[in-house]
Amino acid sequence: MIEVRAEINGKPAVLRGNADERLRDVLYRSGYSSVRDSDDREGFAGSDTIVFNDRLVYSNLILLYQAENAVIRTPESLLSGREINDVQQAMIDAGVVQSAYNAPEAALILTYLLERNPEPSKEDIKNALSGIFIRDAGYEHYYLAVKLVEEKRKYGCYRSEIAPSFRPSLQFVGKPSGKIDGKPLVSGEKLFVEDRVMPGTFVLHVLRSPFAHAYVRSVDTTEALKVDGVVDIITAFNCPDVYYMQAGQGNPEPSPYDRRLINRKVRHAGDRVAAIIARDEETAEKAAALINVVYDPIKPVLTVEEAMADGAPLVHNGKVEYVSGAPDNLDEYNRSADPDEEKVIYQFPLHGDIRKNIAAAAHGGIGDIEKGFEDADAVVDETYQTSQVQCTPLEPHVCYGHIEGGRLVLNCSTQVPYHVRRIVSQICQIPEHKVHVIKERVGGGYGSKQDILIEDLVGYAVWKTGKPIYYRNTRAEEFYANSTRHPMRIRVKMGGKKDGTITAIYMDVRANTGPYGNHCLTVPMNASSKTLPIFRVDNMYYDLFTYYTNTPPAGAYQGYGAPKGYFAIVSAMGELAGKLGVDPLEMARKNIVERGYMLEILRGLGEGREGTVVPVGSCGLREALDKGAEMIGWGRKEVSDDPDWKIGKGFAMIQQGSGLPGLDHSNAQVKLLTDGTFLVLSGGADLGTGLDTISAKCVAEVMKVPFESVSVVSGDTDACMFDTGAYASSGTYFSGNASLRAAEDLLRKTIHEASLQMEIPEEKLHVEYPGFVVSEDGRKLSYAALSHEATSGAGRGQLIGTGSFTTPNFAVPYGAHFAEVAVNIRTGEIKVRKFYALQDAGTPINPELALCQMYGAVMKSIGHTLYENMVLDKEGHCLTNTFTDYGVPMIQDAPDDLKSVLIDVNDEYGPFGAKSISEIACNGAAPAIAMAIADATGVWVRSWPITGEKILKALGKF
Amino acid sequence: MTVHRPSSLSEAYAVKKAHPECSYLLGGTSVLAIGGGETDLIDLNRVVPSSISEKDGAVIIGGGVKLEDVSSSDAVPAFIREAAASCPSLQQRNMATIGGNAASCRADGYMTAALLAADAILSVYDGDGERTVSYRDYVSSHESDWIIMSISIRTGIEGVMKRVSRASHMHAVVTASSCGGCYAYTASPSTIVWGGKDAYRNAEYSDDLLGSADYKRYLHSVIFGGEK
Repeated sequence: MIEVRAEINGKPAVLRGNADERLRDVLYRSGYSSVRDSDDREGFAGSDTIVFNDRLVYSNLILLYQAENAVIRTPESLLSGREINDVQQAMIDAGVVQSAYNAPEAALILTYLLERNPEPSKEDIKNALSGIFIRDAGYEHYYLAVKLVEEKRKYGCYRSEIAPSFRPSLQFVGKPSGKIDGKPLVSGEKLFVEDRVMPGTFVLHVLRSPFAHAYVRSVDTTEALKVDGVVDIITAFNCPDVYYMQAGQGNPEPSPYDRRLINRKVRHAGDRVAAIIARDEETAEKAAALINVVYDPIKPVLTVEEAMADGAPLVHNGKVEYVSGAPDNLDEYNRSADPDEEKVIYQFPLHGDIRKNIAAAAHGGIGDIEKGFEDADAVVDETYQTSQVQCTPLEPHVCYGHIEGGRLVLNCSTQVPYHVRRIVSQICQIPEHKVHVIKERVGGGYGSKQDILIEDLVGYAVWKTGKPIYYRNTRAEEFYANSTRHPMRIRVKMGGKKDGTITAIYMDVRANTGPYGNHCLTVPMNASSKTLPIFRVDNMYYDLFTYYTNTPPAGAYQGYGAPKGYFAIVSAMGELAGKLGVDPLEMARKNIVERGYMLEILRGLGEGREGTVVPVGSCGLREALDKGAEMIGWGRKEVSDDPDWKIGKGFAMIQQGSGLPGLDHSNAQVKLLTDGTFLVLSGGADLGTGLDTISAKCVAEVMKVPFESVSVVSGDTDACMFDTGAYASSGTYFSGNASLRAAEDLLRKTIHEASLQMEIPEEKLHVEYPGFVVSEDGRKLSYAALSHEATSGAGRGQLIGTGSFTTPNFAVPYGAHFAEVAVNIRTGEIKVRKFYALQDAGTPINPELALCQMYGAVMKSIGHTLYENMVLDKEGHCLTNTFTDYGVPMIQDAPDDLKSVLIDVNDEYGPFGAKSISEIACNGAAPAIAMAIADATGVWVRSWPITGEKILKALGKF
Repeated sequence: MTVHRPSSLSEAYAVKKAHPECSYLLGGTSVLAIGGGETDLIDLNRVVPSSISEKDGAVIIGGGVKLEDVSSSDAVPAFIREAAASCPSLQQRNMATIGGNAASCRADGYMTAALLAADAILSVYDGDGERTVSYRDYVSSHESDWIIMSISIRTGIEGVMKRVSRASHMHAVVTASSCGGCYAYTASPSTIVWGGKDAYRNAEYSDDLLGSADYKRYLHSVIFGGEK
């Protein structure tokens, strides 16, 4: 242990630790908790950025002793007391403070930049932010934030428009107003799970399988348990015999229960073999090295093609059970079951056949598909392949658990706190009231935190041992032992007439769910269910098969199955248009749905049950296509001065959903407090996207009070009512509607109470800003006075509004994305020059946050289109376990001209006319870029990532 | 981890001889980063110069000079500055040193091809004292015990630096640099050659995460405007 003297944030400080400890760890431990770690010392993501002797550096790459006499600045230096600086405020106002795990570092970087260069150019800003990875909001509004600071300093106010405003009659909804939790997030407050960990907490270390596929014949923990400081070791042979699945989906889940906490057969490299609970990581690792595991390896199955092959090794071959709808021949089917394997329990039939590695299957369509092809003047029949990509939230999966008052308390970074409670209680075999889940601020989710990937193990370990336990995935574990996008092989056969009418579409979707069946039906279903309904085509049919393999697990990722489906179906449409000699944009215009069109195709697109046929509701699709075409100059050929660079344009029309009507359920309460202010208790799980802000705006709008009069508590299973969670683009539509209904309920109750207190009939009362009940004759009663009276000894009690939202109605967002791409046909280099994302989100309740979510989603999808790729070796080991090897897009990779545009459409079912925003924004880049590359080079690349090598090969260059 | 902090070159070299498993530490962006080996370290920051100067028609860049300073120094030839700036992260450039980068001799190194093409001269400490050696010879022999004190590059030379990578922060698939008729080519994982314009023809290429051997060979064949 050494003591290092340094100046930190302008004051002398002493840092204590081991000489070879990382400065980041010491700073965090010493109270500079905004300095975080996203990359396990890779020197990439920038969450550990500090100013060190007047230079921006990664504190994870500095050893403690090197800080002797150093002058250090952390993001805490930006605060004056609790006040944030103008850069931080501008970041909130610009909408870039979302999940915000490294927002304080971005603020520090921009503050540092502006101190040295008060009027930085775009290149200066790009250079300053070149070492920080932003996954949620993209990079575009960081330029705006700097501009806002410059304007405020120069003119005393902002002059630039931050975002357009919608609905002039409303005061808060549709206006850029900042995020309710923006200040605490950007200032680096202790808001994340890691900030809750108390001294004396134990660690959990997972011993993982070196084999992608093997029986675990025995696990000898005798020597490991003797290590001083080891509390317990959980293995397949002493864990509860409880079957479950990790996907946080509605109950009963459309995914099979095909796993226990730890299984007797490992099914991917990195699968759980043992969980060591120990005093510290060093002790746990020492114990892990002493565990003797006897494996019986089996040949791994790594692709859909291998899984489909005759005689393929079976990833699951245990007994199959059904909770409902068991087939008549089940006993016969189970005769060949392997007794050494875990069971597979379907909650209802998903048409899987595990003896053929099929986890789920579905089929459906409308019209006469063969006749449709016969009627066509041309038919394309191509297969498109998408790769395995990772959500890469800056905060990895993390969980802290302890026992309090005889109950299990879990501090989680989750999208689904109530599913965590249900699943953990099942595994621990305790009732739900014994489990308290607290959703902390989530440092990025993007779908991967819809799954209960670590809370199951931590929860059980805490309940079993009684010890407080903290667990955090390493960045490498995030890649190989986490959930990823399902890789898919999608064959699209599409026929059309010379006039551009599409006569038939057939999709054959073959998805890879990896070792377990999380979302095995629903993600692949999305490849068809979110694409076919955008077409006004009479003959459409799909076949879907999802296969088990021994690749790293798959699950939910923003966009779900739709980005893959759109890549295939829009690329096929582009290829068909080329074959017919038709402009693909005209073909799209001719074949897209419009408001009122009856979506018969939905009947066959229910997820495991018959779907409901509904008409197209509010729809801004045509406007998005028209406006986008105008912006990008569709039809005008761009020519580079350099003959090696060829320029092309492409587009994609897109849709998604807003939650799952008929399945999702949200609840909220709004309390009128004794001083006339409000507390919202929302079951919704804000992931940083602004859901809490939506709840606050609903209350402020309905009760006509300042936005600042409302606070929100959300995602706490003790404090708040049930919500299915933040997934499937449900937040605004479901949780927002629940908050709106709660506010409306409170308004009714407030008028009623005021009527009694004021002795005026209810119909003669209304509410007025800023928080009064007002009578027709002008008498006023403030909410504070009303509430005080109601909660006095003689009153009728506190006023609480309750809202519950379920619906059979769909609120479908539509959009169109356009890309202009340059390709160097000599070197294969690809530049996305322009990208325009135009989307109909109904009424964007938080327009600045909506725009940034579109930017973030576009960057993610540019990433999976061009760069990102998990590569496995022949044994199934992931070779791309760092950001650098995997390839995420950074600020330099953003298009030079990137614009998000909100198409103004008012929906009839969403809160204040709102629909979802961010998932749909992941759907356009792949098909738009693929089409633009084809336009530029004449070759279609039909697999992710679209690389220079693939283009050059297709061009016959080598 | 043990970190040795020698106060002289001879002490540093002696530690290395006594503990050959130790790695030299300068900026830390390689040896302290994940995958850096977790080895014991010899901190050279007190013994290696970290300034840029000019002497006898050459710019002398101390081994401890950060890539950011190399990239912004007017004294440094433009293509060398460009090579230093090809490190895409400002934080990385503020930490990584030219000495560390040169010593690594990595095929995906930011400086490797440019220093080879420039025929840079290293001043190294080899236990017996300080002596000069061309970077080309250093790469050929890769005497990892030697301590790179400084790198000398002729002032006023002109060259070209090329780097092809899939995304800005991914490792380079290939790099190439030319200066005064010398061409240097590197390709992941381990191809490093230099000589005439067609020097790449004699190189051995391998498939890896970043691309196939054929792709890399092709890129080198066209990167300076060869046949398409």
